[in-house]
Amino acid sequence: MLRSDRILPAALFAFLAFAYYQADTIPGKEKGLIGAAFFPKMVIIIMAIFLIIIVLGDLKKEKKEAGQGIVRKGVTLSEGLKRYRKVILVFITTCIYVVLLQQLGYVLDTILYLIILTMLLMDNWKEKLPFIICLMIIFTVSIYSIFTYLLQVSLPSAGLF
Amino acid sequence: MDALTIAFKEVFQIHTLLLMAVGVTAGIVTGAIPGFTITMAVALALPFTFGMDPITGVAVLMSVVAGGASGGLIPSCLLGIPGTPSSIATVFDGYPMVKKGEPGKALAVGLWSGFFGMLIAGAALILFAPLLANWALEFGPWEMFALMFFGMTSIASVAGDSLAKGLFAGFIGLLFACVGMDPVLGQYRFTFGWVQLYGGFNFLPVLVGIFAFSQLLEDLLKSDLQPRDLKIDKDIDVGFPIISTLKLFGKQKMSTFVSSLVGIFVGVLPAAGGSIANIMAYDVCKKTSKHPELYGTGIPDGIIAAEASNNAVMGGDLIPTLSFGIPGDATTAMLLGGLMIHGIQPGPMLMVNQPVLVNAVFISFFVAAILMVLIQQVGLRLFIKVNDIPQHYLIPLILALCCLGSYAVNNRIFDVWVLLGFGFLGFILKINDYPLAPVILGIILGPMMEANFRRALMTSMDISLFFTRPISCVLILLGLASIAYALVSAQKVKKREMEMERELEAAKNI
Repeated sequence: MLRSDRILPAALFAFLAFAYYQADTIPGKEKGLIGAAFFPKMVIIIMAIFLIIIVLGDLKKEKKEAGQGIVRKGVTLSEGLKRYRKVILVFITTCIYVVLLQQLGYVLDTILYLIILTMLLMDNWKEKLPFIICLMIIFTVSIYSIFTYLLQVSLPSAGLF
Repeated sequence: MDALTIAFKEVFQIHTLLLMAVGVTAGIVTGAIPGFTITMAVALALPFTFGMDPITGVAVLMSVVAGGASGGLIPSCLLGIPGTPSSIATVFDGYPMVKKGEPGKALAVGLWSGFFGMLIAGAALILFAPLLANWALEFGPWEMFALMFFGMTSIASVAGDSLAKGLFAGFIGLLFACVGMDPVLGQYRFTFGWVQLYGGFNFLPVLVGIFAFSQLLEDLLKSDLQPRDLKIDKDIDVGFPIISTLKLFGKQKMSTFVSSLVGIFVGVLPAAGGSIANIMAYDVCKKTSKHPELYGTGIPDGIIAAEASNNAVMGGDLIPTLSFGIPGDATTAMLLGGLMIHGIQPGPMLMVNQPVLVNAVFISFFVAAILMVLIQQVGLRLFIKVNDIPQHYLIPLILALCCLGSYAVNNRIFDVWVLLGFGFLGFILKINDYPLAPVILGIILGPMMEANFRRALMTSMDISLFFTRPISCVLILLGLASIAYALVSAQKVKKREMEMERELEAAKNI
């Protein structure tokens, strides 16, 4: 069973340990309070204290809930994947979109991204596919034109697009 | 020509006014869609201002904020769903008034309350921002550090259920602000040899990621991405004579004024915004009313309290933003980001170095208020239809605009990755009940806090100076007091929120 109230603090502790290790490698330790490493180290230590307070508070709350007969349940990996399916798919699609931005160019990449994303979020997309394609082409070309010709911002381009 | 005259000329150019009108319209549209925030509207508008001159860019962004603050009124009154978190209290009396068959009156009262709220807040902005900035010019690094410390402790006021989570979130921001070149000795920190990180994280992709991208990811968890069952009746009569509305305000001068003051006060507090102000003003007006029992039954007083305060917040927010460089809330953090894109650093020196820009901000604040009333009055029927746009079209389009905005800051893909990274971080924090506003406050205040702390120690290693210099001592004590106050009042707030929830339910059942 996976529980976010356990996983997140553990991940944050690991992150803080890593950050502290990195802060320790910053040169100029001999300068003490005015050195470049002092402030981040102080921030990390305070964060660790707050995190301990959060975890202890949560454990206390859980104990109280248990006294009232409320048992916190985690989720299995498959349940978690099911619950966050859309978030994961949209996030991965966006990552792929960013990777392909310079290869495909802004216009083609964005049109494909928007169409795929709408298909992911819409139940009856098959019936409205021509409309979706037209809408996304019009949107992307309009935005591209506004930025490129009106606002003079150059967007990634590849070949024709 | 003096700075004020030049600022007038700049703001009253036809193209600036037209762009401001577009900004107000975009703000109203975003505000009218339940679930979308004003911060998101500003995040989406930001990339369009990159190519503009600073004055036009800031004027447009202020128009978006003004429109967004007022747009939330529409679904709050007509659907009983707050369009933005700033219009939660509008539902309490707006929706019952519509149910009583007075939709036109509810919308008119809300709209004009917002307008008057903005006017009062505008006056406060003009009065206090230069005064505070002048005062801050006298500050040494000890006072500046103490001011930043006070700003950070105000996180306590928005930390919600857990003060520790709020403060932890603020320190996440401080830690990320350490990435890049350190502000005193120029030493690289946490860069892992990446050239892109030498200057630290660009402020805007971080901001858009934390507030807009994470919000969109959270929206995906909701099951109602398909067209909503709740629809606004297209034949609804939304007309109400302006003269009658203004006559009504003649009798409501005091509550408009008090609500606006509450909005300004909440706005001045760093990280506290419209979402707190509207509930607080509603509470204050109800408690001081001769007929508190009528609140929640559809009376104008309730709508005035909520709408005047949430529009006045914008003026309050701008006071610490312009005078100290400390954003009043997430939305003004976006405005601050917009200024930084143009190489302008808000803070005490802004009034001295950029008098034209500061005057233009003041003028455009009032122009935005006027445009807000005009555009919403004229286009109300169209804005009502915005609610019908399905989220499965909106979310992809907004995600694409977020990516585009992040790319356009520096024309580099790296910033889009920063957007995704911080968007994911924001989402994880959000679903685990960590507030997000403190993260941004930490990122903004981090470099200033560290630089002033170290400069103070480089001048004198005597740490007691932070407590023996009067202003510094008072600010540090105020910071500690705000944490103590937050701890004490946390229980009270919880109790009040439960009462509010019951009132909201009762209002919907009328």
